[in-house]
Amino acid sequence: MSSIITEAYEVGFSQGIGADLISGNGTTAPQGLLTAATDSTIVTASNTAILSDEIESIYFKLPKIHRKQPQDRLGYVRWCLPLIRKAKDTANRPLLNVANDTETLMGKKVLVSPSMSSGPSAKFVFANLSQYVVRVATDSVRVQVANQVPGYAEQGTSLLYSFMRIDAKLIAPAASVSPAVFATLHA
Amino acid sequence: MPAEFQEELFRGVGLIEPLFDENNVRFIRTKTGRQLTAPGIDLSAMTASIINQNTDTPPSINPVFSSKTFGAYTYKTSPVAVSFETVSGFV
Repeated sequence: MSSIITEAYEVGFSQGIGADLISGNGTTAPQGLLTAATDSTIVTASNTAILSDEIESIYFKLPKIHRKQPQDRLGYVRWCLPLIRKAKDTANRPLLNVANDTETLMGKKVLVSPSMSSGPSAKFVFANLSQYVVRVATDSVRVQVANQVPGYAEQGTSLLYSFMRIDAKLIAPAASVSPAVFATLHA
Repeated sequence: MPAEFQEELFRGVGLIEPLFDENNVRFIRTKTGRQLTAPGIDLSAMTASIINQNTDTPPSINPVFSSKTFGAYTYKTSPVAVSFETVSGFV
């Protein structure tokens, strides 16, 4: 039973916190990666396909000092995975590699966030995630029991809530070498 | 709460949301939610130059050190309704 409840909390936190880790405003919520990322000004020519040249252009918009990070520290958080999966080079080879249950693009790990926007005009981010800091206050992680909730207490049930305190920000000391850039799918 | 619960919770959240996975981002655990300041260096200003004996090497430009202050926003999950008996086994 306890594992089912824990799983419910995992989903709850990933939905609530996850949405802010992507698009939080940074003043009344954690700073989302997409909010902090610099606009590469690249817009794909279509919203049903992403071309090899477009991926390459976006990749090189990320400064070299951030692209050099090892594979496990550089991630792309994006929604349009099905479109990138179909992208091919001039020899018709797929650009996306799948090995050991990990998808890589241009040698870097692809991360898929359920909180990224979808559909036309969706964004995708290329980032050096070692510069994205998530801070968790461990003492704040707890489960609170409400035993006297009207409508529940009479039926012998309690309400269990879980709490967690976090913050997140992108460390980007110089705007000219932003560790995160985003591109936009055509409208 | 037991430490195992916390670890399982973090791992589970990270499996769904990769930005909460400590293998992907810089994940800092602190005991409390007190303000935390993290520094950052402007990497684009970093360089190196040759120095020679008897040559005056003027000071180079220091890279800008910036800082970000972290607070702690409180998140609460939706409630799960369970029987009194189950509560005593979970909490």
